[in-house]
Amino acid sequence: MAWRNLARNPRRTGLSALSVAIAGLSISFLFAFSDGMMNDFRQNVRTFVSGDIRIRHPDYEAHELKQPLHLAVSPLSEVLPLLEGVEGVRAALPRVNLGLRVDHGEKSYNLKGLGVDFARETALMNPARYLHQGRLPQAGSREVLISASLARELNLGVGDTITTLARTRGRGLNAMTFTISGTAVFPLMAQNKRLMVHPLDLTQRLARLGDSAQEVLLTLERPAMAPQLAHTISKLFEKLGYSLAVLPHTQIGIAALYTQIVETMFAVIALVFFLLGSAIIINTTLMVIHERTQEIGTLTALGATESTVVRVFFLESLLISIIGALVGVGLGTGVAAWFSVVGMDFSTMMEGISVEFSPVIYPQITWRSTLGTLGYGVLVGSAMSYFSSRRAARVSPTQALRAI
Amino acid sequence: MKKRHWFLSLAFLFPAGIWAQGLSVPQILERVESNQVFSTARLEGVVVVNDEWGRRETAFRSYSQGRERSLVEFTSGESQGQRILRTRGDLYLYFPEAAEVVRLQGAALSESILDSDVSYEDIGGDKGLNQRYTGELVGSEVVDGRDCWVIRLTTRERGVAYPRQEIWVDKELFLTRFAKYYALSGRLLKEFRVLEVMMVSGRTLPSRSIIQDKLRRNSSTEIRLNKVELDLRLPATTFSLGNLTW
Repeated sequence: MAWRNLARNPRRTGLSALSVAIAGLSISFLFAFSDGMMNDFRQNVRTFVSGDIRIRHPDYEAHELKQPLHLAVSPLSEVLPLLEGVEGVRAALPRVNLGLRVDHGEKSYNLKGLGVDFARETALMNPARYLHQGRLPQAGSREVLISASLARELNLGVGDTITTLARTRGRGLNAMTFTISGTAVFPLMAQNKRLMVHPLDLTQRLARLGDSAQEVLLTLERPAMAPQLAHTISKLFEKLGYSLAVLPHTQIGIAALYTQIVETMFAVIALVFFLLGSAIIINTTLMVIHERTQEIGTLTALGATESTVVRVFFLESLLISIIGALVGVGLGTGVAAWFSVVGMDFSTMMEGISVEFSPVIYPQITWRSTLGTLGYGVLVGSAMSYFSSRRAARVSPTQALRAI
Repeated sequence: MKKRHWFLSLAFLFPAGIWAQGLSVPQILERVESNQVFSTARLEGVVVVNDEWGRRETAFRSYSQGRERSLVEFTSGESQGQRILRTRGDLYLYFPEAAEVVRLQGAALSESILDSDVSYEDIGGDKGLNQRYTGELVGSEVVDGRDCWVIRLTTRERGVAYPRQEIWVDKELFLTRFAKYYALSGRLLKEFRVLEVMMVSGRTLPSRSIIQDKLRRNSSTEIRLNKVELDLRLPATTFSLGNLTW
């Protein structure tokens, strides 16, 4: 009977299914999009800020804005082999972040310099994947990789030279001239405007750092083990007399705070969409049941029991919800799948904004965005139908027939 | 603040019309400047920076010719080999590992040298104080046991680093013993004090002086002069850009 009812009024059935489908489609796509954004954010924070574990001088963070390069991880020649010998550590990556200035023509540019060991960085940043033109700088050579848009702004290309000024460990100023070995498109907007990546040894020379780095990031065999391994490494440093702050990514102030803010933001957006989607389904279901109060009255007048009425309407609604949810989630997943390949480009919108999101977001299809949303659509649609039809079935036939 | 040739002398002016011991304020300032502007000079000394990161010493050697040209070379520490050339209002930095000379201009001139309390604009400037400031004698005070005139200076032109100054000029030596440098808003930016003096060729120079950037916390920079030669012969190319990279 429930099946027959579906075909009796195709417009009504279609409207009910459509409400579930729209809610399913939007929630499914939103989940895929937000999961993609969160994944991108976590990846960027891990790659450029925290690693799985970050090691710095204990006083560096308190003075970070002043770029106190003398508060460094030192001596690297001892610390790196030590870290790489710890079980569970995949790679130890020394890095130097420093402010640079480039005078070009009549203009001065304040840029960000990043000194990395290109060979080691295949374990985390993998700079080769960002290459746009040319090649990566070679250790020991005075070469630099600069962002493609910065190169365009400075009207420079591969093979040209650029002189950069930087503060040194002793708070003096130093300058070096580098040859641009390659240009790159980095994942963050701010980096694309002003990042220059140098070989670590040259950065150490530029900033007079000697055998030290501003920080060492660790990647682990099992990132989830970061808190335990950070504790182990801390104890090891303590035992050997090194004064260094070892923090798992979960405890790195800015990274943890950003992650928390972004997760909360997406939870709120998801809740709003959930409520909106539910409101559409509930409204449509209630309207349909209300419209059919006369039909319910006729059925009860003909002798149908309350449970029979509820069962018929519930089954009908369940079928509509399943069809609507399948169509909606299918469409939402399809759209998300398409964008997960081609990406959603927000670069124009994010122009000038400095956040840890990439300008191109790739939605990520997850259990939450597919099966979770499917279950949600079916549950809300059929549950609302159950309660409404139960209430309608309790109305006496005379009242029901008079109600319309 | 735009200034003199030897590495670090901040303060002077050309006040108008008020007389002290038979001298007008412009005359007092002229006498002060005659202690500081040399036909040629060669100085050797040390910059000692004390700040929240500790104490850093950098030796320097400097050459100057009149008011317009000076060359400073750092001879120790991380900055060894770096040079600062000032010639006719332009300021250039030479770094041994850079293929080109860096010309400093605009906001970059207000950056500090060696992260000290002295900025690049403190060693720049071609005009005399009387051309840039109006002076007013506001009284006399004893500074470090020396009787001084207190002269207030107000800028005549736009774009100077210190639109207002107060200087305490030693009445006997015509030396700026103490000075305060202010922003247009009246905010105190820097203080300069002479700790010790030396006599060279009949002129009195500060052999030890201290500068404090009041916008930095717990920071001071001491300039010590160890060797001073005045009126010596300098090669004509000393202050040329080509000579910077010799």
